[in-house]
Amino acid sequence: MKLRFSWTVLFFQIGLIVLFLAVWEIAARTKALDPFYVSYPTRIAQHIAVWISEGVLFKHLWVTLSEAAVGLITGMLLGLALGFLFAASHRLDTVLQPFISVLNALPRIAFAPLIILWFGLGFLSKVVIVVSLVFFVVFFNTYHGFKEVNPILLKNARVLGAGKSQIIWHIYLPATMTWIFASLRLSVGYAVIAAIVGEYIGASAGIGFLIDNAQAMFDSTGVMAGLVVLTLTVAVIDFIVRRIEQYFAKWTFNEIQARGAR
Amino acid sequence: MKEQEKRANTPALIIRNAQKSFPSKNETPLDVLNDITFEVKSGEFLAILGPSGCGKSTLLNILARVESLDSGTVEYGFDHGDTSTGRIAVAWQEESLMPWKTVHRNIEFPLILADIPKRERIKTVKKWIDAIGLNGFGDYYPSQLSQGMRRRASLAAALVSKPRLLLMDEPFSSLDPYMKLQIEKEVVRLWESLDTTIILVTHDVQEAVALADRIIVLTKRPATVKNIRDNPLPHPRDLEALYRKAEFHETVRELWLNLTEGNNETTI
Repeated sequence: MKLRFSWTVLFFQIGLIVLFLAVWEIAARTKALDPFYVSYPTRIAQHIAVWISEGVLFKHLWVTLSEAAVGLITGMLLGLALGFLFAASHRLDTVLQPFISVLNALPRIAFAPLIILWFGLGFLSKVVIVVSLVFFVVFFNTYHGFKEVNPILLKNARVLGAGKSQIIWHIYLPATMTWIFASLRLSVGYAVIAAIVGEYIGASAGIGFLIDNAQAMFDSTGVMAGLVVLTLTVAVIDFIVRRIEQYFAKWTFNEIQARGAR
Repeated sequence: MKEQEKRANTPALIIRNAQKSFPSKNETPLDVLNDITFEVKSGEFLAILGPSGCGKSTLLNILARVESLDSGTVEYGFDHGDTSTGRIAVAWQEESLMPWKTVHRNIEFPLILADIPKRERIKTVKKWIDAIGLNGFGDYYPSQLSQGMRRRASLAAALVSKPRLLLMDEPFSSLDPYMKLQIEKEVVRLWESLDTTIILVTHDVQEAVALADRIIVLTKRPATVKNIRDNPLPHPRDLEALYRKAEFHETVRELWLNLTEGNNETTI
């Protein structure tokens, strides 16, 4: 689906952004839009520049990203381990699967205040919130990846005399990886959202904290500046994740499509 | 010459009084195999011919040791001690290449299982990639290849560990006629150069006659041996010339009649 790069397309895309910003600026300056609510693009840019020069921006960005990253990694490892365990052990699966499903159905963001109460205003509570979202995505993908391994591959390996560990290493693990990679972008997105939401509810640092603070002081410029930083950051992360995906896409993509078609 | 030497050998496999049924939704179990007995000579190319749904694939699974019999025995001519690795291989009807491994790594897999040292593995895989005409495609993933190329790669993966017994489950049924002929030619050529016993399970009479030394005809389900016929066509075979021979068509016609006769009767 990758469109070929074209200068014309890029020109129009940049043109659209410039047009949007110009309309916004003019509308705010002429009071067609109330600047109290929407601020001005130029002022937002200034605000970000001040954050950068004072060293505020990177300090808070670092906090948010490290919360998301630690939570993401922990959630993925937990999801992988338990996903494998549940898929491999029929007994565990039958006893605990209903609980997992109910937990997954719960709106976990709604529990964020409770998590903050339990784990404090600092780093740990945000990590727990991130884990609570990422875990289920990875858990279910691992579980399905494991359960839906092509039976012919298993049969063939058994005929050839493969042992248990060889079957796990050569078949189960890579088959599951395709599913986990397919959900990687979703997990990364969830991780950032969860960290920000956690910071909204109660924190002493982070981009979410900056936005929440500005909002409390009716400072729309501050809120907008935080959102711009967030948007740019997520765009960069998404770009990196896509690159990682593309690297593995040689086989993952076709595999997932083949499953979808079945 | 090779032919005589092959025939003189001990049997590769003897199956006696094989009985198999599956539990079904209603009370009576579904009988699939009924008292099947036959012998496979070492090094021979045997075709098992039967109507669709007669239990051929079940029989193949049993011979491959992934399913067990209700009663009856299967004896293998080769050493029982090491039947576990590298002795039996299957070319499946379905795609059996691992999508996450390149062609090279897929073909290498059975050798890893057989504990072959790395240097030797690389050499052997290279040889097989050349043998099936996929040179230059070793680093490609299955999804990047055509269906015919994937079939060739599966065939190489099945043969790479020099199995004593190769089972083939309608491996070419999904190919177009031209591709099919190309790969059948490949199979005949490879078989003539190896001392592998091949059992081909198929419902395609032409394919059975074109490839096999001997053909076993099964009845419809529950399957039992209806006829065992020696193929009069000699080896080595040129498949393209074969299709123009009257003898070939005569054998096909005969087997076709044999396969379909009595299929309207309710009992066997």
